[in-house]
Amino acid sequence: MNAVGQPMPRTDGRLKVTGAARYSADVPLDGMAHAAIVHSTIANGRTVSIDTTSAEEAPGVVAVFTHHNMPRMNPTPEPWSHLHPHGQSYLPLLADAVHYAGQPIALVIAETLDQATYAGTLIKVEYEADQPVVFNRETAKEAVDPPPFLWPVASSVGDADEGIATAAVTIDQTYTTSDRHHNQMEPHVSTAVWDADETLTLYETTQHIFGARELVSIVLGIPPEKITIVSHFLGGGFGGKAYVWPHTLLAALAAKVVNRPVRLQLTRAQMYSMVGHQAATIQQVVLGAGEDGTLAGIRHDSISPTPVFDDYIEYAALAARSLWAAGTGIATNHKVVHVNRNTPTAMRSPHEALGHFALESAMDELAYATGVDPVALRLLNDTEIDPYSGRPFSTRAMRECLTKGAERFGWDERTPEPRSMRDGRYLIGQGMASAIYTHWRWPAKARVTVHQDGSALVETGTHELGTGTYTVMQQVAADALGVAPEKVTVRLGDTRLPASHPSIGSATMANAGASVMLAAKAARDRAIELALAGRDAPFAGAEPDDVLVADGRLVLARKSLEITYAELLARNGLSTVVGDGDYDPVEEALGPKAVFSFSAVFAEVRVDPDLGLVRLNRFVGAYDAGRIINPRTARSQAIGGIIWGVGQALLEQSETDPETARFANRNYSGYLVPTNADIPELDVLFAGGFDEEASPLGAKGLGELTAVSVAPAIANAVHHATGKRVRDLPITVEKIL
Amino acid sequence: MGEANPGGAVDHAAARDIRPAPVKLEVNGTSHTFAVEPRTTLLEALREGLGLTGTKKGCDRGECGACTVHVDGRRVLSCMTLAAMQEGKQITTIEGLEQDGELHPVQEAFIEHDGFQCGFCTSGQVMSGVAVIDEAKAGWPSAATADVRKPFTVAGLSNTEIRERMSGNLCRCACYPNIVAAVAEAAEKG
Amino acid sequence: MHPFSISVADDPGRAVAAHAQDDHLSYIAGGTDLLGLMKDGAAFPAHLLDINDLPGLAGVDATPDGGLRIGALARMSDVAANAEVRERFPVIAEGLLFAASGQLRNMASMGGNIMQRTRCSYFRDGDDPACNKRRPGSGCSALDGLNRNHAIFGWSDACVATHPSDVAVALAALEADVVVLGRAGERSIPIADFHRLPGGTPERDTVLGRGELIVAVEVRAQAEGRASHYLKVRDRQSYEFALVSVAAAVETEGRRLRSVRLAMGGVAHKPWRLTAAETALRGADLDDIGALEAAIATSFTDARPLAHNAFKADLSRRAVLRALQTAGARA
Repeated sequence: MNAVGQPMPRTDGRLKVTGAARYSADVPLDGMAHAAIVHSTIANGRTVSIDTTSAEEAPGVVAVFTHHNMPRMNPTPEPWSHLHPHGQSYLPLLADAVHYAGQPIALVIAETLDQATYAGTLIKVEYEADQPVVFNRETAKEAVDPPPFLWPVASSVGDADEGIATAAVTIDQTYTTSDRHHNQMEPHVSTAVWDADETLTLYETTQHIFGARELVSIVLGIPPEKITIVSHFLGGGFGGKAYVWPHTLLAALAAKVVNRPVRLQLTRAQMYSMVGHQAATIQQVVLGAGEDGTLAGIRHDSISPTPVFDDYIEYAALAARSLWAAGTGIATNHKVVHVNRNTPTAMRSPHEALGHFALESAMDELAYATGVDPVALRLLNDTEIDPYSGRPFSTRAMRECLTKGAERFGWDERTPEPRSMRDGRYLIGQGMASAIYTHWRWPAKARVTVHQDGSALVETGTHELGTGTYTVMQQVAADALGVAPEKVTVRLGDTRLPASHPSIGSATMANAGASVMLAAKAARDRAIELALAGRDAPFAGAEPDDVLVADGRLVLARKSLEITYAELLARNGLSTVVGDGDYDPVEEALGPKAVFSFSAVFAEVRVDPDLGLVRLNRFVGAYDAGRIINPRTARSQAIGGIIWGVGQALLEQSETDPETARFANRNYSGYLVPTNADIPELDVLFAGGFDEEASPLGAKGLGELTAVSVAPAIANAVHHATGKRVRDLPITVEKIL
Repeated sequence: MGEANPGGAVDHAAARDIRPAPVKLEVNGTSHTFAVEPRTTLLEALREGLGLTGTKKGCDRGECGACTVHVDGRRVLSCMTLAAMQEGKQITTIEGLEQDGELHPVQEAFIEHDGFQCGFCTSGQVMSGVAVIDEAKAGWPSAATADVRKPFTVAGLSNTEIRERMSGNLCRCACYPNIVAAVAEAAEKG
Repeated sequence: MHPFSISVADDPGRAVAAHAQDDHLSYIAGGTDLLGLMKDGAAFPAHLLDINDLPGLAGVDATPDGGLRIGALARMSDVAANAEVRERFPVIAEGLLFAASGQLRNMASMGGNIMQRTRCSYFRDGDDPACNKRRPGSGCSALDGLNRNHAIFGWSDACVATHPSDVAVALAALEADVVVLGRAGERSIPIADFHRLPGGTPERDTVLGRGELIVAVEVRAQAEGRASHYLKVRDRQSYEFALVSVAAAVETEGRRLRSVRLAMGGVAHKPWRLTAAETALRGADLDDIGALEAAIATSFTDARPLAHNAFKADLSRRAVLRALQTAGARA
């Protein structure tokens, strides 16, 4: 029986439920010192003086660093790329300038964390402060055109404005989303260890060990082969640990100076300013359509904040480029406002989850304006050709997502009029939305070793962030080798393993997974060669294609011959056979077909009209993520994505104090993420199939997709329940009353 | 419980003895005596002092539940209490839940129902799950209990009750429905 | 945290004496609020006196006449689970159960709960913004800053914070007494007088002085106790402080309200009694929604919302009505 496609329990489950899984802050090291960052309380200006005398004299303090004595760093490379993944270009502790609140201005190293933290409070700082610039509707008027970094900033296919101008029905609305923070359960932590031969090991919270190695190499000016990055288990990433943030560099440099291991863990509060966040957006969507709902033109423009020193773009309007067909044209554009703020970053689901809120809310408004059912409206505007690139989609099961999702949800029983459905004192609302998600194709390497006892080892420099990587790689290798999954051990998260890509953008299954499959097949093929032409070859004279693998054996069915891997290796006097996998796909944009994941999601909310409270009642998500490798872990990712979207829809916002430009609630009691009690039963179904363009495994991205369009589905349900169209996230009490 | 020196500043002269002093902690059935500063939290003592890193620091403010352990059989947050206050108390951490190599039924159920993804909150979730079942058996009501005036029994431990009772443990991967299923199954089994 | 020393108190009298003599000493019971304040630089005791072992302060005693005496060291979860508390005063059990989390309720003491300090994000901000509670005289960042979660009643230009305790709101509705041991012995403070409005000295939350220790909370027997309810309105379903909350306790005759006790949380620097509404509601029919709404409104004529919390006045009136109806259904 194939392992792929089976709902296997996690192979690392026992480690995780017993506390034995070692995360980056759990690695025990002799002689380790602890670091604490002291950060700026102003958002714009400079430090005039930093008096560290008392801190240096405090018990247990080993060293105190400021811009006066911090070792120099090389500038981060421009432009930003996945290979050179700096979280932000501005490196702290090199000068007296302050560009954002929470910017590191000193670093204390002490014997214990309490000692370092307390000594940090003894540092006296004098500032020269200027008024900070914050993002709001006023400053958004000063938005400028940024340089591109992932995709073109603007797009225009056909003539969107013509389509809108001549349309029978137009929707023209502004939608806004809030600044949000990842708030992974595990705080970012770097533990730096220098060996006598000047090699550096970093135990790191990262979704990109090789990128971290590259960036640390450049900034510290040491060759990459002298650096090892280790991350065996990551306590949640969600994009926030994809790139290298300044604390990692500070830890590495400080450890060198004090000549002992240094651990630098950010406090929960520091996770709001020392690593990235999701920037707010102000988006305008204009739809032009015929009376039957057929789209003629789409215009989608977005403005988001970025720091004074970087041009980070939330590509919120990306979604409009490929989601629906529009007969006359589609145009999109992005602008940024430079503010006193650290650099935003990818956060589940970057770009798409923001843009879809606007676009799919507007589609619901169009449905009501035309009287066309929201599901029917989407079926009407579905397309087999990517409007942006003109290429056919590799696979697009949008229609299946819409119809199967609607059926599972019972959409037919919905009465479309707002406020028409009730449950006692509660108003019931049902809303839906669709989504499209970018597919990434990246190179990845892996190595698979079959041992004399018939067991196998998978080695690849990818990551386990909760997505089940140890488990799914085991399944993939097991099938390719024809061995039982429990015979396969998987090693990840170490730059001494074959190089892989960042675990972002839902890319790991399709790409790192492909490299594991290729490596396992290479090992298998090496074994088949031995069976055909090795010592005392059991299948001598047969063709390689005649040989099958199953149950730890090579089988020549035609002649009823078989031999186990173990026997084969023993017969050839080999301790192992090894296969290398080198997956080097063509970049998605250069392929013959457009590859995306798709979904249709359905939400039912319960609104207490007296108290303004909105709670999710039930939710159905239908996803086309290609072939599903492990339905159990895939379902978990999907419910996690839905709940991530519930947070975006109803709870999450990082407000900025207008005076100090600080994020106001830098903790879990002020920044609200969903609790268990906020979440009902969630229903997940997979409607896609094998996509050979996406990956040799047939898989497309899932994790990010599932967090997209939850917010508009909920907002549309709120409109259905109450008649109120909320165009500003999150949907809180005061917007309902 | 008087005013905590409002608006004051730390006065070292007034502190008596801030140096580490020995504390005897009974952790997972084993007695450990080691020196801690008065300010050392139980969490810090478990992780840094005893190397029991299964208990996680998520927020260090009592707002996430990742550091949940049992003290004298009750679930508490180890980040919000001091090690020096635990003298003579029986402390159980996630590492102490297995018996003779056998997983606790709640641990088994978490694996079966995929009640975690990244696993960082899992120690706290499992420790809470064990306690939630004990609390229900003891007849404790919750905010999800429709009428607190009536007796509560473990038979009333519905999914809604479990959701509320497990809400002190945040999970950002958001495995909540699976966590509820795991706790419900473990409660049913015993 | 800053360095401090710690010792264990074994006698209430000696604890009070030690507290009286030392401005830098703080009692610690559950520690769930105090340690957070210390970590965020909002409290700086040089010495902690661990009062958890003080004898006789952890009990929950139902008095023969139908009242309660709740020891200051009783844990929230024990009080909430207590059968007599639940039967006689469900509003107390609910006020406790809707607060914090299971773990925190196992730790936090009753005395500490009513002593907890505001959740104003500026007060809790370790970066030490202008806040008269943190640094008297530094100003109030929330007055013209982010104040969605702040007061609509009784605030001053010096402070617009709210009191975060849930059970204190229930106790306020029930007119409980806080029993305090001082150097001269015990005194009882009506809970209405226990917490302060900010005025010009918002750094002081309560009327407690040095050398005082809460030993118990006493609730008198009352007809309204059994038909009582605590309603908490919050953005999140659980594990969050209130946007607004209502403790309602009623005595009825048929569907007619004979007596009503109402207090609110999340609207002022202290649990806020709605005395005008209580009077206006007397004699009202529970099924006459218009009459109930009009009576409730009498307590909101002096509401003064801030820039971001205008919704709280409207939300409060609606919440009071709901709480009243639920309490009424228990009569």
